[in-house]
Amino acid sequence: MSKGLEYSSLESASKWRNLPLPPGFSRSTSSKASSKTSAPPPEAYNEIKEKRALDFAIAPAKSLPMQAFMLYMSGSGVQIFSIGIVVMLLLSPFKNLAGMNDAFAQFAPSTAKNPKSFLTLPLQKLVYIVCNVVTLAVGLWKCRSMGLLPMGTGDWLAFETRGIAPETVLF
Amino acid sequence: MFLLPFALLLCSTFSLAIHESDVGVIDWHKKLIGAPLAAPVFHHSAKNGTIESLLLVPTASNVLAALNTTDGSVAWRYVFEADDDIASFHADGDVVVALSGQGASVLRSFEASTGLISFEKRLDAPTVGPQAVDVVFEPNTGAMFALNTHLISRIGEVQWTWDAPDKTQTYSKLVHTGAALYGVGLSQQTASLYLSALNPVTGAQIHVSWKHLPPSVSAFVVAGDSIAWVDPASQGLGWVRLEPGLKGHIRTEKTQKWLAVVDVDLRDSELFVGVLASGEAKVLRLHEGVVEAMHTFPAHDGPEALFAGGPRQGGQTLAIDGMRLVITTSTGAIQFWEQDQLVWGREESLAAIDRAAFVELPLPEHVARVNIEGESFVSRLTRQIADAKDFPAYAAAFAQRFITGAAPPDEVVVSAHDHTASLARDAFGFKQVLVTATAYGTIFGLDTASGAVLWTRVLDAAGGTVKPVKIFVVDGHADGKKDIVLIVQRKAQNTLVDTVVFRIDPLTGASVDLAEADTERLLQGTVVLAGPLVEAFILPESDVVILVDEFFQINPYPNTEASATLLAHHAPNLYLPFTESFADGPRVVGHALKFDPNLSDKYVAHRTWGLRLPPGESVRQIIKPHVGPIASLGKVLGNRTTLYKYLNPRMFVVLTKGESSACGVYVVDGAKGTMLYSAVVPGVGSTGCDVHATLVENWLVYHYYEGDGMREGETKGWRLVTVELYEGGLDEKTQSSDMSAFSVEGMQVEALEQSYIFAHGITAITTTSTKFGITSKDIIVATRNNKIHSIPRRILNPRRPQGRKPTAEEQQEEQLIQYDVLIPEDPRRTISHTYEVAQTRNIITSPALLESTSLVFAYGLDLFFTRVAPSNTFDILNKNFNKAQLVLTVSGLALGIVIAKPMVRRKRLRERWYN
Repeated sequence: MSKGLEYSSLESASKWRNLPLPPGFSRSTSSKASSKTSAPPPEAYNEIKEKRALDFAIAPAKSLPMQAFMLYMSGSGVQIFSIGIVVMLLLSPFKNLAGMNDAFAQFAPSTAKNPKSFLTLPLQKLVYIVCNVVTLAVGLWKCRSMGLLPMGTGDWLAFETRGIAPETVLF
Repeated sequence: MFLLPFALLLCSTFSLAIHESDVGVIDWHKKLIGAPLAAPVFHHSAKNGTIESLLLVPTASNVLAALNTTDGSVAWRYVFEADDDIASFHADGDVVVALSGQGASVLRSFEASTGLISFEKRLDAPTVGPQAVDVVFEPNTGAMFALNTHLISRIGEVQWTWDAPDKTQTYSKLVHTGAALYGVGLSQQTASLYLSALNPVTGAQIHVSWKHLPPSVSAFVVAGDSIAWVDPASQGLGWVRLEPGLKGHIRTEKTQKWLAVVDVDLRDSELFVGVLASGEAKVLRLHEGVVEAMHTFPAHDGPEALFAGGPRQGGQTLAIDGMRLVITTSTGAIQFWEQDQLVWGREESLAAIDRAAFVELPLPEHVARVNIEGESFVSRLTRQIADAKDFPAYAAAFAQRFITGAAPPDEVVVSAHDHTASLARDAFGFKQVLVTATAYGTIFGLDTASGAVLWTRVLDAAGGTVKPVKIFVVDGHADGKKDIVLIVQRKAQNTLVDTVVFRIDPLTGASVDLAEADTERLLQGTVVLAGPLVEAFILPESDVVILVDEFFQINPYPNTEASATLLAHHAPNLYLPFTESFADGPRVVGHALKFDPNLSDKYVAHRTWGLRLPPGESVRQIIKPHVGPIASLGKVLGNRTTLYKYLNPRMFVVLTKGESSACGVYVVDGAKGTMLYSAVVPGVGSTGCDVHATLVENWLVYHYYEGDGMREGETKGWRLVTVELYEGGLDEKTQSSDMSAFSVEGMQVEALEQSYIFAHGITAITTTSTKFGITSKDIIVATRNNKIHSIPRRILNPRRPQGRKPTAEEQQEEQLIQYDVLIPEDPRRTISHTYEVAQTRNIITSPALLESTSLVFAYGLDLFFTRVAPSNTFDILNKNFNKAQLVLTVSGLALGIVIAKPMVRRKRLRERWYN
């Protein structure tokens, strides 16, 4: 029962793979043992990877309650803390979406031609996008409640102009 | 109830009372007494071994005042109510007695040195109108006798009133000889003298007739214990000594032809003046029953009023005390001369200002020099070298300004006590010239920094009287200079009226239109209309004044080609509402302009609408809107929605007086005469209306007295109503500000209003005005208790929620506070602080160069000037802002970085090597 787990094999693009072996270490014994034991099929790995990708995708949604609590605590005033939290909430979805393909590359199935393609793990990425949009929406909602969103006519009043009345009355 | 202190607390963070250190620096107050009515009376009182001299004078502003003779300052004054006219005043020892009121029946006794009232007494009023009043004092007892037409009263420990048996016999003088009290009268119908003798202690009548008096006399005088008269039939001077039994021996002097006797208020010295038919006059002394001539002088060389102390028609009066001389002039000036030296002078016509205007000063010369283009290289070089000599001073000032923080004090404070400095604009525009035209035909330039009179001019009345009607500030001929156009109605002695325009340089008072060499002489004007003026207006954004004459013809001033073109350009869209007199009283009538060469060579105003009022209602007053820049087109509410302001630029206010003591407040469109807002408020009693109103942008504030509660449970008191007109509900807009008056949507107005109880009656109301209109506008009122208050905009917001607390949004965005019926009286809001600003008739405001600040000038009896910052001075650094500390902190941090940076770099390098 000397099943060894080749963790490094999970990482398709591990940079440690080509490192020289430490002195006095022989790979053959363990590899022999491992080769003897039935290695899990690549499909199983892919399944696990997909599962983990889904976990990763819904991670932003999981942190939402925490963030909501922070927003609640920061109050509706425009202060440095509330602004900091709101900026974080507004920026992180964009940052996340920009780095989405890189972030999901590690969960790409071994069959994938290009792990960084948008089309690998489409379902998880979609969930990830939705979660980030929800985060963004929460951030915007907070902005609105702080009065930072130009929603009403009052916000555009300063840009209205009027001409001169045609009739003049002198007093 | 719990909320009120909270609301006050909330307000307090926004209200900023004047600091004690600013008193007399940002504001000034001129205590005036008004133009003298009668000759001033010297009064001497010994106090702490020194003799204090006071000058007692009753004035046209209904004030009894005492001036210090040393410097002309007001020692004390008593301001009588408007319905309590001074009839006469009399001084004796340390007692000054004034008779006033209807029938001259209110007697007040003042302490002469302090002005404190020792008692006030209501005497019996005569059954006929009061014709003559006189007061004499009984020596040693402190009692006094007051004569009022046919009543003689004794005021003192023993009091009695004697009524003449024949009420048609009115007495005009009282004589007290110790033995008896005499009333002397001259019948208006028969010109006969009559006398009555009373017992001064009991008031019993001793005798009332005198058989041997001449049948008719022209006038009589009292000299000592005698009376003297001229008998016009025989042209003889007669006199008699008063005796209790009225049996004195009448003596006459007929060697010379006498015309008249003149009372010169020197009866205690037994002196009077007799005028001879030969044209000479003699100062006569009636002593021990003998008349002796003291001095002879020509009588008709000067105005009659030159007789000492004689208050006669000329308007010029004199009071002489030893070698000291007080002159009061027909222009309301009081001058005090000692020998031939002018010791002090007071300009009392300032107590009767009719029109006033702020004039901005031009830029200082070295800044204003703009003629740089086209100057040669050499001249530029010399100019720059010449300018360079100011550099050290500039650098020093800059350094000082940098270190001390804010601007040098004299810029913020505007050198209150140095008015010799040249008239140039200061950094913040606080220093301006106030041009004031008075009812006495004088015009003054006042420095707003100190209140000093920069110049005085007397308008040329051409022998008649002048009445200032309108004052306009127009652009002058020179760059950045302003001119004053003063329009005056001049009434000649033959009652013909013409309209005269004076164009004045506000800095010097010199005439602009007509070249003049000497500004000491009468100011000459240009007659523009040979008839009365109906109204005068200034054309929008121009320097052209149009005058409407009695035939409703439009006369532009200056009468040039350019003004005619401008008038023709504006004429089709011009509407002129003003009041016209009709048989049933004044009415507000709107006019449009028409040019018909068949009728007249000028534009003619024809009636287009008349304001239709309920029957019996008459127009009291038209109130012009305050015109200023409009910073915001609407009011943003807490939920980000907008109420669009109804910004009809044609709106004005009409105050009316109706039957059954109701007063109307109307907001009227000036182009078509429709009412946009109307309210009926109760009047004062059944007689008058005491409504004051002011209109700015879409905001109307009016004040009235609620005498009898209209409904059950209402209290009496003054009310302040704030009204805001909007284009409609939330987010509804009609673009009222650029809409035609005849558009259908123009009538869509929604008024928000709230009424408050105000603790005081007011005499004037206005709003502050600032350069860009961004600063909130406060209401400035002059109250009847002689204070000037400012009422913040927040308190007068008609959106203050009633019966609930404002929501967080409303509090945060609109700064609303819960409605409370009472406007709290906050002493910090009294901008006149301890000054007593009496009888304010009007308040004018002007923007300074600083957006936050508005200049306020209140005039009436007193003058008061201050500046207010309704939203606090957000555009200048706080006085105690420490610039040096800021600079030190920043430079300290910079130094820290300079030192720390190489250290950190070295440490990092070490880390790389050794870790």
